[in-house]
Amino acid sequence: MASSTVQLTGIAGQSVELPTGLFINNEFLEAQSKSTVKVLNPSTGKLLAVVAAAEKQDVDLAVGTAKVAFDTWKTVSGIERRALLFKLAELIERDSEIFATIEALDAGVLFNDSKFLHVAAAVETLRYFAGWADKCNGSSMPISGGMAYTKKEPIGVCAAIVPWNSPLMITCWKLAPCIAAGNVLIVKTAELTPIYGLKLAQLVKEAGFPPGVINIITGLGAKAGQSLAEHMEVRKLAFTGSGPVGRGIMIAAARSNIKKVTLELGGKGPTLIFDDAELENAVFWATLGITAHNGQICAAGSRILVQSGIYDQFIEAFKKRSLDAVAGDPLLANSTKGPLASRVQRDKVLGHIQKGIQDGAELLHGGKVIESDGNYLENTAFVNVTRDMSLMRDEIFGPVAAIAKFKTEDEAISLANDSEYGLSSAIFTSDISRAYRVSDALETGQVTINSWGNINANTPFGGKKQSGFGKDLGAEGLDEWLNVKTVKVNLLPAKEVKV
Amino acid sequence: MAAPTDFQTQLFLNNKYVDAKSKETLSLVNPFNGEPISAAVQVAGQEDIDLAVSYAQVAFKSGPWSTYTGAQRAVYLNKLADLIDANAHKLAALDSLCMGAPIAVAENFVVPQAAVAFRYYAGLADKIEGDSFAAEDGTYRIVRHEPLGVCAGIAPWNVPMIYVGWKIAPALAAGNTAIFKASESSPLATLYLGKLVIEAGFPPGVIQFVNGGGKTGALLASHMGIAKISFTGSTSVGKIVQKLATESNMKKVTLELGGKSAALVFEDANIPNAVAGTADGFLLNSGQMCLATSRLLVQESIATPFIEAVKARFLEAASKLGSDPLSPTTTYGPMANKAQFDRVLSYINIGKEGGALAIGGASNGNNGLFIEPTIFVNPDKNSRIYKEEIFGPVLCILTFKTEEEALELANDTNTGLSAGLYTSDLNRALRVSAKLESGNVAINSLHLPAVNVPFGGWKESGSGQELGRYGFQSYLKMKSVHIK
Repeated sequence: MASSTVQLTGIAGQSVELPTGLFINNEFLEAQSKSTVKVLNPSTGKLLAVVAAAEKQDVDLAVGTAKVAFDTWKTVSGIERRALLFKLAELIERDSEIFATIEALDAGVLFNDSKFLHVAAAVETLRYFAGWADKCNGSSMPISGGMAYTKKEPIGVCAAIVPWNSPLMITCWKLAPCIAAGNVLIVKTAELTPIYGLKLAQLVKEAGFPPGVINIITGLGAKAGQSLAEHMEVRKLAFTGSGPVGRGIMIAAARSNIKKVTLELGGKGPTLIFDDAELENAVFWATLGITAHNGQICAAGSRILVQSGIYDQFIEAFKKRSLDAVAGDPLLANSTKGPLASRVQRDKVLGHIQKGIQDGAELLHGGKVIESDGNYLENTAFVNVTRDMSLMRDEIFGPVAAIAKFKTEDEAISLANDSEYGLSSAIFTSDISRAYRVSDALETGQVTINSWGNINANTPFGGKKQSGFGKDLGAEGLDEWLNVKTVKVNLLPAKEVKV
Repeated sequence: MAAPTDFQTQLFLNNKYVDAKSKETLSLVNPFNGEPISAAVQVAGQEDIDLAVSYAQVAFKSGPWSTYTGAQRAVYLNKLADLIDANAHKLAALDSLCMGAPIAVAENFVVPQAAVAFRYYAGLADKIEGDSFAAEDGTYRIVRHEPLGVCAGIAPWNVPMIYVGWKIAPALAAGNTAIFKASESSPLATLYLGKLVIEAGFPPGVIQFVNGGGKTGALLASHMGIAKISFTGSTSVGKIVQKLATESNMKKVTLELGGKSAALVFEDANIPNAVAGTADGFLLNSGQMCLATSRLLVQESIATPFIEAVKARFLEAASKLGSDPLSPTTTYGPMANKAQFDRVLSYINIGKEGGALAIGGASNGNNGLFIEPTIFVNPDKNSRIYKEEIFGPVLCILTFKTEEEALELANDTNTGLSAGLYTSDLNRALRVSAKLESGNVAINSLHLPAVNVPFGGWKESGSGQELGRYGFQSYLKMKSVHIK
């Protein structure tokens, strides 16, 4: 049954009309059970759209079409896949303002951040992996008695469960290498932020992908997500989201068909600021690291560890910069702070703040709701946070910084590594030896030196410990979507020649 | 179609078409009908080459190109690929006009391959990676891969547009700037590309086209400001290029030279397929291909019918001689220029003296520089026609009894470019291909280079590789950085 449409209004009267269905086999369908999900604008609390929500039978349908599509798709050359990915990149670039509008309305992302950072990164990612599509080659090696070679093959039917914080970009982190490697993909978008997925689906069709190669559905994690995690025909699932959900997915994957899993989970990013850091640069990035998108970033620099010599100056400048935020409608250019993605998330963050206060951490600034119909929360920071406090240990996923002072480099490293997370970290220093030494010692998947949060299509990104495993982006990111087959040819001796 | 008249004859320097300061020109003649094409093709002299190099150096060191990321460079390379495809007919016609390739082949295969190369290498521009090593001894080490600088490419006249892709695309993807010289007898398609370079938006000095013959090539090979030269052409000239490169500034050199490749046909081959590959395949571009298997070695047990079948294909091709290369139904063109025509005929005459001529052996009528598809059977293995590259439609056929004999015959050459092997036995295929002393081996088909696989010759067929990621590496240099 074909689905209905929704109309959204952006700035300057810009209007977008989108279908609200599940994108399966290049068509938009209602959920078979007619199940829907309400999507709210986190800035106003108002209803944005009602969209179809997939349940088990819809997931079965999507996987079924993907499996059929793969039979033909696996015969398509890397060069053709490359061309399709390039086309999709071009279309997203063409419609970047539409995506930015959607992300602002649906996910609370600032319009300019979406357009110039997230959407741009999505396009860069698609182009980067397009260039790999025709280069997934194996190796050849001699063996005694014959010869051997390896093939890098697609896994087949793959799924990606993507989050609500940077929805288009993270979707493309999965889609681009998955498709470049020759797989077919079912994307489950977050039920909080499904609307960009509808637009993306339109462009997938416009770009010319055959039906079933890329299906995009939304639905509740417990229903659609779980169905994918348990599905016997899905051979790989990539998940970006919270630790508890990731754990559940890994269990479901093991219990069903031992599907390959990659998990990009939370983080509690330490930002280490040494005495010899360039102060203005450190303040800029450290502040951005915990206020960008209200700290709703897995790589957020949510623990700020400051060496005693620079501590007072840093705190003063950091506080000033953190408070210099204009909370407003994410669509508007002068807003520098949007809402949290949902009321639930806002309240969770408030809960962490309350806990922090209860645990005896000293509030530096913030801590309160910004009254509105939306989900606005002040930029918040605590100082003198000790390593055993919840503020220092638990991922908050909000604009809440936990700050501690340190004396020595060893102390900083010990504090930074004292975490079950290991996604990303940032170091600020002018001493090159220290930079290399400390980056070596930090137990995180990414370390940035004198900046925070850099994402580049050609560099792998992914965590250690309970931040998950597997990489997005870079050459390693591509390998996650390939299987290696080894072929060995035994050489028989020459037959007798008839002379 | 009528001969195209819209073409460029000037040098393309710094995004402008200019006359040569040398004041020298050269003439082009249509090899199909002897008619003059142009007498005004500009020839680059020392001053022109000096200018080109200085523009290319500025573009490399401080121009906008030097600030672009790999992803940004890729955008321009892909754009140029699109423009080459959009102008395929025009470019093919200009190559066809100059050197006589059938336009259908030029337009449907040769020109598109240039675009294929640009797209392939565009995808590598943002994937340049070196190594990093842990500081087990307290020192961190990183290997950076950096572009070379100004890279020159010299191309022959046989499939002119392909070399534009093969030599310029990897150079630019790696971040270099390029100066390219087409053959003096087939410059027109290449020169026309200047317009597309501007349209694609390349900054000035990133891609430049110069013209001229050996003298101009020597200027490039000797130039102190050029970091690398990639030459495709004859072995004898390749040796000169290498010498000049060494004696000037030791610039890096890649050479794709001649071949006298053998195709081995075993008794268990799929015969029609083997005939197609060794007869029709050999006559591609009228035999003017470095990878042509100009020595056909056939197992004795099938030799008689096989040779008859090959002759029949040659006679079939000969029956179509004389047709205008610019006509879309032409399948067989003339020799590319008078010098080559004379060369091939002189080899044929040498061969005739040896008495092994089976068919062909004559030029065709007085309509252009056509030479009949020619076969010598069992020529003397020491004869010049058997040992030396002819680069024309002249095939030498020998027979062999055993696999060992076939290998010995095949490898008895100082070339090693492109061997062919026809058999239905997997074991033989793997065994023999492992023993063939050749940079490329094609099993059960004609060998056509693929952009993602390295192409390079062994022995005196060349040094280094083009194409694939190996080819890409040759446009980068390593810097090891040790950090304590």
